[in-house]
Amino acid sequence: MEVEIYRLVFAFIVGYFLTVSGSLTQLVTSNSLASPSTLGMDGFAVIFILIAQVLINFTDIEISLAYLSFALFLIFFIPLCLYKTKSRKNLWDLLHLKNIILLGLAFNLFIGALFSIIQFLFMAFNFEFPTGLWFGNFKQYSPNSLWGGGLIFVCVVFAIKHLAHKIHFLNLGSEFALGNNIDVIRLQRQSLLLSLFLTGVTISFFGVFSFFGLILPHIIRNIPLFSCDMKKELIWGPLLGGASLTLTDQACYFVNVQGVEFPVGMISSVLGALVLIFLLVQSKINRV
Amino acid sequence: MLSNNIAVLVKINKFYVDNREVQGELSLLPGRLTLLRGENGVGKSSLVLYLKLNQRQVFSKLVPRFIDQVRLSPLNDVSFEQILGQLSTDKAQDQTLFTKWEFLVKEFRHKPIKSLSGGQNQMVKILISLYLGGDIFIFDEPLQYLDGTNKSKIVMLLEDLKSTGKGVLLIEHNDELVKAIVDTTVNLSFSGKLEVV
Repeated sequence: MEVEIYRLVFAFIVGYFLTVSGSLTQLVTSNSLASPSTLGMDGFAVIFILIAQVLINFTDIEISLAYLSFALFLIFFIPLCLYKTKSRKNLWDLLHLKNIILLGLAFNLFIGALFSIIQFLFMAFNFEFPTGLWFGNFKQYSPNSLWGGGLIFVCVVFAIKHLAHKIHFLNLGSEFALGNNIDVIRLQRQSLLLSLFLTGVTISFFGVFSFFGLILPHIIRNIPLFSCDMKKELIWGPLLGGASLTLTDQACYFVNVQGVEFPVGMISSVLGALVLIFLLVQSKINRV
Repeated sequence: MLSNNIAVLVKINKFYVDNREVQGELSLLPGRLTLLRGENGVGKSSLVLYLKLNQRQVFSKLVPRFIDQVRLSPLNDVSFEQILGQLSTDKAQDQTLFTKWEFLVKEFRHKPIKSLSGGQNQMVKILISLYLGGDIFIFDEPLQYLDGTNKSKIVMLLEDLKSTGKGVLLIEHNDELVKAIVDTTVNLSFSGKLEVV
């Protein structure tokens, strides 16, 4: 067995993306339990994998599942970016209240219900189910898409550098930020869209990594090196996320059961859930 | 940089509190303190939120600072000192007032904000706004959570703001405490009218 360099790089980038999106959602909703999975972003992206699988089964499209689902994701994501609601007051009420978690959970439940219907239809039609993407893994990757990943990585770092100062205000409280001439609604919108995009990219290409985006921001916030400085927390902190996903992935690669490799998403979910319980018991997390 | 001759006339076109329409005018003059009065639930804080959400239209080029009722609640353990550290890249404004009143937070400037008491939190909010500077300061019940001595200190701070030519809008129920520094009193009634008393 040898270390696959591409696999290392992809795991690192994905870990970075997930941590960034987790941090952003928590900071802009001032809610320590917000994350792409609790806000239903995971579910949103998974739906497109299923649609892509249906399309591939019904038609003879010569395109890989990952690219097709990402394309479908973009078709929905771009109008979402362009859509602007007229009533700022309503949007403010929605975002600055801690309602957003409930909204996310409701959306997640809806996706779950939709999901079981689709699963039923897959069984009824005897289609091949894309189980490989349930739990994230880096078994399949195309070296060519590294360029895309690298480009997004650079853009993300620049975007965060631009947003960090404003997020510093928002971290102190949305009312406070609004009073200090920060367009909170726009900032929340931009940040949530950025984390939705990163979640979409990750899930389309590598599958679901639950809990990762929820836990890593808390760990980073408890490390003195990164905490209390928004730029460090958002730019340097996620490097730790990248490193830990890479290590977990390598552990899965080398330690296999009966010759079958564990999907890293499965292991990271278990680890993440345990760490969350530990942090809550230790009161390291600000309760909502 | 700051012009002492600009008067702001805040025209409230229309906003709603519990489906009641509020309309009227508020004038905020440099070096003057306007007290906004009204019964509980009449829409004073909603008016502040309206001003916040529409600050570009209302204040155009003037810089407003809002000190509202909500506590600072950061997710991390950031302290007052660290907050200022991250703001230092900004072009700092005239800091005389800030240096004069900095002693208010001396005891707890290195403590995490989330471990502070209500009153300490309130003073941190006021001090950050002083540090950032501005032309118009809008205080929504700044004396809440504060003890007797600190209440009178903050009233003196408001007086200082006035004397440096800032416009101040104050919402406060302790009429007696602020009586001496109020220049204009505006009443907001349940019928939705803003009237100078």
